[in-house]
Amino acid sequence: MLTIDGKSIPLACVDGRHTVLDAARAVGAHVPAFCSDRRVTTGGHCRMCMVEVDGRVVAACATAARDGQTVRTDTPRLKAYRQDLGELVVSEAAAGGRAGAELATMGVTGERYPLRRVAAGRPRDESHPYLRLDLNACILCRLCVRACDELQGQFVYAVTGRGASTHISWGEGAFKDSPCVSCGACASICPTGAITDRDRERSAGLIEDRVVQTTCSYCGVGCQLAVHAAGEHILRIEGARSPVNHEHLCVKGRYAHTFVHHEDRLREPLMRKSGVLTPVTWREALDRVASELRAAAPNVAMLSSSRCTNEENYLAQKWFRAAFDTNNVDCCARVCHAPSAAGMRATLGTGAATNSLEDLERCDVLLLSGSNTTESHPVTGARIKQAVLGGTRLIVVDPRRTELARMADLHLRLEPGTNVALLNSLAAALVDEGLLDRAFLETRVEGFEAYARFISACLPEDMEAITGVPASQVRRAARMYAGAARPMQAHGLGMTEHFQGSEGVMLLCNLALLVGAVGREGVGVNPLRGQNNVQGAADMGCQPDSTTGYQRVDDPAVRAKFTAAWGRPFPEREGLTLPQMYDAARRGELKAMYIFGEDVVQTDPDAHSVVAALRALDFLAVQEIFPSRTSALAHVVLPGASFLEKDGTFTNGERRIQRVRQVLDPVGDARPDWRILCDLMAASGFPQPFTRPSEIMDEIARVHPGFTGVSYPRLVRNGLQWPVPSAEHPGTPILHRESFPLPGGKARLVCVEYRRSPTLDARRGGDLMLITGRVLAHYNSGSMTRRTPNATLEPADRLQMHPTDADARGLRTGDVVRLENRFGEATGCVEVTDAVAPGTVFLTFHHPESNTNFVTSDVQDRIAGCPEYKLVPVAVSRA
Amino acid sequence: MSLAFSDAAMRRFEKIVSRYPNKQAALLPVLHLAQEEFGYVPPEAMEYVGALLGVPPIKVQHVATFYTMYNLKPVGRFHVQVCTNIACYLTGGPEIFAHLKRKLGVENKGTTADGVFTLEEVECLAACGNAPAIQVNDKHDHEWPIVYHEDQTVAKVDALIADLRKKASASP
Repeated sequence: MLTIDGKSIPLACVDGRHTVLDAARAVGAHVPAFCSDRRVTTGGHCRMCMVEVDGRVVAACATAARDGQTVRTDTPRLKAYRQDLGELVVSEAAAGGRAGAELATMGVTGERYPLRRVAAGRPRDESHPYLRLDLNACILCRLCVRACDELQGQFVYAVTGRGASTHISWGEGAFKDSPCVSCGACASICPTGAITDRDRERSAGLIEDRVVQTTCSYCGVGCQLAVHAAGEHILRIEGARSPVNHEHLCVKGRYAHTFVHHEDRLREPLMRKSGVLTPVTWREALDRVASELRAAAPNVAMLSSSRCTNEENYLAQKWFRAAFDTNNVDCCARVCHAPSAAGMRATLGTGAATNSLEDLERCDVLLLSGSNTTESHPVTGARIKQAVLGGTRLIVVDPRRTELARMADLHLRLEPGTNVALLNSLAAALVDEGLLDRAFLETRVEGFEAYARFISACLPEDMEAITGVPASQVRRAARMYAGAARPMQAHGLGMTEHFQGSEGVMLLCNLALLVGAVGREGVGVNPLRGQNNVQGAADMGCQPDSTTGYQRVDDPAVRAKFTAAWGRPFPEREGLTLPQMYDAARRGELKAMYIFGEDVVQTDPDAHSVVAALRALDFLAVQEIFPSRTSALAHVVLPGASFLEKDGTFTNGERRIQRVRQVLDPVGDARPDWRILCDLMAASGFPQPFTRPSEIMDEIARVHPGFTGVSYPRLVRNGLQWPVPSAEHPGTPILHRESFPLPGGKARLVCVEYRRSPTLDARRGGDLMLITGRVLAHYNSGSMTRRTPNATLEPADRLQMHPTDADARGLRTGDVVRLENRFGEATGCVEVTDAVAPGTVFLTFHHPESNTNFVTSDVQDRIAGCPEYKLVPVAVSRA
Repeated sequence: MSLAFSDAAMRRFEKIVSRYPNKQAALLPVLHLAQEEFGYVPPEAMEYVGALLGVPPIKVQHVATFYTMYNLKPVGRFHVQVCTNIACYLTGGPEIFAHLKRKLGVENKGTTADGVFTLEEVECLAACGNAPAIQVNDKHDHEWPIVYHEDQTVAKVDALIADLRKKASASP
């Protein structure tokens, strides 16, 4: 028992982890504290939180709550001390923010120590597109230092000097030239306004009228946002408390929201009239789309949107399957993680992450393959950095020396396109050295004996010549992975976007099975999903071979069940995958296409052939929020809503179904996408009863066995991780605890031989191998991020090139170059760096003018049809 | 980055690092080594040391600016450090410091135009029994780089300065 101002606190609070400040707040005592924040470790710098514990004055934030303490928070002595401390604070700094407000309510005037204001004239900085610094307001609480170190792991700030000259520093020069990654944690945590941001500056004077929690749409991490709004203005976005992001955000989630009201937004339906896209009424547009599709059915296809909600994806596939008698439905998972789904389904039985993001804090070794996590999934990347700084060992498999590769204990820097050879050699080392979980293999895995015979021919020493990774390093990695109590894996598109993408993922599963690292905490195989709802789009059935819940279309029982639910049948025959749709369109077999929330001309490979396919269609409809290269080819363009303008759910990469909540009204005449789809279904003679997205989710719960227990009221706080088989089920953070959903309940080891990608045969002398991917500031086609100040952080697509290759071509950082091969031509702005190996270059695809995907190849993953974005030979020369 | 340790300094670096459980822990002695090697600790040296030890450069700055014995600006050949802490204060330290400022024509932490002397007022040199005390660092003397001069008077420091001037012109 501990008492605070006469109120007793039960022992549950006195567990050694809580402080007297926590306890005081638990009983509602008001104790000012400037340098304390639950997101970071205790500082004990400001001393404002002084309280009396058994008559002694201590800092409450730095004193553990213990049994038997008698605490007073408001004695006259404490009030006088705090008042004096407040006077000292304002004598040194013109503090604003929450600290300034607190000081004002305390009646601190700044008159007691008028001569002590030593801070005036300290640095100010406005060089950064988002962050603003004015150290004249700084009270040296060091929250920014701790936030940068402990949340992002970027180490931008430090305390410099000593005594009266002590100040916060970001090193020499302008802040924009510091290593800052613009996550905004410092501005979010600063109690005085010394570090603030452009959002706060912009919204000064507006009165906040609501805070809405919703899910970020910038990647598959699914960070929870607390959107502060006033009327139709977004004042700022903070990270919400959630097991996904623990209040942390990245430069996209926190700051890249001004696209919502950008002048380029599509605000009314457009229809091509005399060759020109012309504004029309919704009625005219909807009727035209429905009649064109009906006329062309069943030779029509739907490309659904992994950026849109589960409810919308469900409707999209329901519409095409049931109204147009076709399974020609796909989504952009085809071009990113379809190989993860296929590979994992073949080996483990479920095509989704086995574990949760929280397990990153529970593992002791992380094997990270083909993922530049700190840029592509920044909040998860920061989490990995913190784990590594805390002692988790990290093995990175990547041809590039990424930020995490630099921090890694082992960086297996393989030749691009040799994933299968390398992963086989890792597995061979495990078998060769007997680093196996034999009990697990015996009881839970099938096919070990055949596999052991196969893999004995893939020893690291045999594969070294192919992969370029020394056998000794591979063996060290194998021992590190197998020697861990909890070896975990995460992987990105560097694994999947290859000729052998699906097979590569199977090999990751093999590794986990060999050491028994599936089905418990802190282990598993975890694809880091790319787009915000690419998991959900696939779960909802936006794929040609299966409908909602991965239920196969060729299964008569499935078709009977859906016919009963929908009141209409759908065909038995599998539909076309996205690349097959393009082929069919070019052959004239596919007549009409509906593209929902994707700019395929910019993001799909071999863009010239994509354009040819779309031009060959009789009819193309596009549902979008911005005009795009794809919408420019459309006959009808329907203006949809951004994630801030509608309700629904997204499912993140750890299978967590989370709410998307409307903050703003859609711009102009734009409509929420689920409503557009309902209207189109009605116009197609297939009316739907839905008046709100929750009703759509209720129908999904009836047809998707993994969603049976999902309903909006249950998603209020932290969402639910599927499968959720009943209304009482708490969700499933960890898959395969007892058995695998495969015949016999056992997982399968798969034998895969390394095959050279056919793209390598086209390599000419002097060609460099191109890898494409993302940078931190932009998301995918850049349609949203380019229309925010993120564009000033990263104004052009960067071509990373090794100094050797740059010297050979007389190129320097900043030079513009042309990339050329048999598919087409692209441009890039050179960045000379040893992050890429000699012979390889890396180019992003965020800016339409660089035409990155004009040079990516037509080679596809042999199983899932995912394009090989990560490997194509190009000739590079000065533009 | 243009700064780098000589081979000899690199050998000393390896030896220093080998005494610690991890590289980061060797920051203070490696900063001293950098100061010896480069004459002072400019931002480029902090960056270089950070890269060698796997410490973010800003954290090297944090440490290097906290401790007064790291020179953040170039110093002259002789770094004359006059103690004015309590024992020296009572026995004439401040007078000696004032005298040297006039004599060398520099303010605290200033360097003479010929680059021979840097004068600095410092805290306790731990020679209170023989106060007042002066510490002189000689950049060129690798055998005795630091020499204490105790029981000083104005007359004695005049002789000391003359002596150091002679030394400087004999072996510049």
